[in-house]
Amino acid sequence: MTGTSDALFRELLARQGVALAPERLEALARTLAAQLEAERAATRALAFEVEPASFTRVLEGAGR
Amino acid sequence: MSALLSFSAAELARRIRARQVSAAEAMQETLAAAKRAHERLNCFVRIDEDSALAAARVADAEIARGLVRGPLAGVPMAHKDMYYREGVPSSCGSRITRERPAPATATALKRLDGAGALQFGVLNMTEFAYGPTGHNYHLGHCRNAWNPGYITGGSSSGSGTSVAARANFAALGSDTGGSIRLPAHFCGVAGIKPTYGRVSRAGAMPLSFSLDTLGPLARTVEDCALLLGVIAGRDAADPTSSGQPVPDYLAALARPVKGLRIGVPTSYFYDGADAGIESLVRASLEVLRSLGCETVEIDLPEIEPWNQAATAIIAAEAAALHANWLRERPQDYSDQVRARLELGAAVGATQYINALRLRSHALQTWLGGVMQHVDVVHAPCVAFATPTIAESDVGGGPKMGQVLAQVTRLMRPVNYLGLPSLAVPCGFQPPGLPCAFQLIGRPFDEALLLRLGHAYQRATDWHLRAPPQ
Repeated sequence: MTGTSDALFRELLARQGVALAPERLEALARTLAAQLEAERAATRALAFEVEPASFTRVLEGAGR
Repeated sequence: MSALLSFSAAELARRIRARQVSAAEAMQETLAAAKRAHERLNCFVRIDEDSALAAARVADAEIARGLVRGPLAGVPMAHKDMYYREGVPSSCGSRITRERPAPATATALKRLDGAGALQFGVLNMTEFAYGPTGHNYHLGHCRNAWNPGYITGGSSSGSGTSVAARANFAALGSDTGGSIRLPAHFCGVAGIKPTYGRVSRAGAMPLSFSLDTLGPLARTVEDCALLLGVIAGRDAADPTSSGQPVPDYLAALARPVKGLRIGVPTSYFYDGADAGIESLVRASLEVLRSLGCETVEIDLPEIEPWNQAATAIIAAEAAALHANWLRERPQDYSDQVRARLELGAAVGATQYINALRLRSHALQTWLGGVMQHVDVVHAPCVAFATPTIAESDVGGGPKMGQVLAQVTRLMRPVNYLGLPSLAVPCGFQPPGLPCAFQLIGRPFDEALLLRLGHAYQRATDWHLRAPPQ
């Protein structure tokens, strides 16, 4: 993270009542980056209209 | 160990119904075993001796009059301390909820009560069910019945180790990212994570409402079938519970398995696997082949993004649930749970929503690709040798993310897809610690998993071996 985004990130967390210890920041940023990278690749082919509720429809439909 | 304590829950229930064993006798022996086990394993949060003995005497009187409440009449059980009983505090493995009386009794407990099961205590668990190893920094770490220096797995740590130790006939657990199947693997018991929605979650502590499932850990697959049949089914108190009919899981056990097609993944599940674990898990496939099942190698789609998405969902939902306490009582969380909740607070809204949007696509990919060619998928639960409690005691430190991700890697994709999965013990790794495989099925097809797992247990004796007392 750059200095500015680091400060903004910490501010967003602080507003949720989370006082993030400085030594945790790097690990947290690394985890989030890995999640976002995986998600970006996976959602690239996802149809524009797909909504979260479609999951239970597929699950229930497959059970019949 | 007495013969009575070596019975499965189903066998004990049969003998109590036939009045060959009294419920009071079963309860007395179980209470004594529970106290002994707790000294070694730190597996109970509370043992309710007086009320359990009184309930057992009532059950005996009823049975003497010809009244058998249900298929679990008189069977002693203790459950993970996150199933609420009205007016009684549940610790949820934490410092925060242990003085808060529960507002209502969990539906799963009501159904077990109705089936005649007798609850005699509550079990240790990972703090707020948010951890896969069995460490608990408030109640003390739960210890493995096969060797107290090793982890039990979590979060249903007390459920796994108390059942393995023959100090409990069966236990409810919960599985959001492996919390039933991991203790089943590490402790050498059977455990089933049902399809999302199969079992009502009303009155059970939530961790991640999109992924939480409840189910039993027991000594045998037959016991899992018995308990699941009691607790499954629609519940008006849980709007996410499914209305799919509940089959007769016990009757399904008798059906043949010959000709069933078992999928064996060619990627992901065995990547980097410990040679000893891989050998045990693959040996279980030989047993299933000897029963007439066909094994089919299957190519899997890319699964890692599902793992990452599941991790983001759990983190975000847990952080939302804990937001007030995290603000007001951060010092009452262990470092590890607080660090993970902080991560959840940092997950962005678009990331969370996209992780949920991707789920239906992932499930369709799995059902249309993988499951088109096979009836079940067979895989390891864990791909590494069981660590000691000390080795895996990473707290909230820099190794936390890597260690916890490694433990849950073969679990979370199954939760993400909402699928049922049954863990079945299949041998021992050095130095004498259990190992299990998992069977992953189609949505609401728990009956097939139980049938196959039961057939495996009829052909093997891993589940009959008890740890040193």
